[in-house]
Amino acid sequence: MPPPTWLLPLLRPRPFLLFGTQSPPRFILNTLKLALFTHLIWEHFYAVVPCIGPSMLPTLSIEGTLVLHSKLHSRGRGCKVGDLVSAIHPMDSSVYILKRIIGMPGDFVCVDPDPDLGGGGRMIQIPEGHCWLAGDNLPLSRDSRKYGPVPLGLIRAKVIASIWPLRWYQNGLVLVEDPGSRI
Amino acid sequence: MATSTSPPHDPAFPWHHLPHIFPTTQLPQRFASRPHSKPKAPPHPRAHKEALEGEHLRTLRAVDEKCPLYELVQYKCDVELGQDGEGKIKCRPVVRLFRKCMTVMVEVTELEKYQGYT
Repeated sequence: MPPPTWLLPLLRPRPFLLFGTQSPPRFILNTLKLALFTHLIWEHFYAVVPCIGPSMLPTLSIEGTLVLHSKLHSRGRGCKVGDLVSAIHPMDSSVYILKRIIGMPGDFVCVDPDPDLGGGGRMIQIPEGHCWLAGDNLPLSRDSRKYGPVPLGLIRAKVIASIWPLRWYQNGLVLVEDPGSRI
Repeated sequence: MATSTSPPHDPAFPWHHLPHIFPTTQLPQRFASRPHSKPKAPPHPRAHKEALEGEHLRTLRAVDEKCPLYELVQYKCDVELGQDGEGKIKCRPVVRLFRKCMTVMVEVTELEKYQGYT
């Protein structure tokens, strides 16, 4: 059945900025496809997210940084000690935190390595399914020293780069070539 | 240097009562008595051999000799006033030392303070 004559002008192909010349229904469909595709990439692959605060000095600036999240590492998949991760705050689900992983399940970790900040002399074996998070700037970071081991399921993404200034983040854990000089 | 095993109850730190917390002096015993890692099915022949060898690494002395040492640098940052009166962020490093033993990471940052461990 042909469309009624009053609808014909609406169905006529028109030039659009992104999709070339196409009819309005096709344009709406393509816009929807693009939106869903963007949503898929953003939620499950990669996202660019701003972060702010003094807890990760000097790795991240205090004024704010745009960082690249890899959602392929959500729920701690493939994360290792020394990685930067973004997680949901274990005591307030509306807050997101960006910290470094210090321990994965089964690891032995010092609760606080700096006796000046209290808590020296105690260690913890990380329970199954949890990790130990700490900010790079120990005095100004509220992290696992405050709220204990964090469930791996709260990890949203691994932080792999800062967009501006452009910089890739390496794993912070470095092999000591000459252990005799350190211990 | 030993600290009490169970600190007074503090509502702000309910996790301080976890059985997973212990004084650093107990690390050698805790490490030796850690639960055996669950076998992942099916084990690769080489991985299985490594796991068997790992069972011998149950004393920290053996850990020292066989497990590679890693370091992770964290910081203590503070704002200091410069000559021109402007605040500048100064960071001093806090080095954390780890031994990677098969699949387990053991932090040895504080352990070096306790000499004579076995």
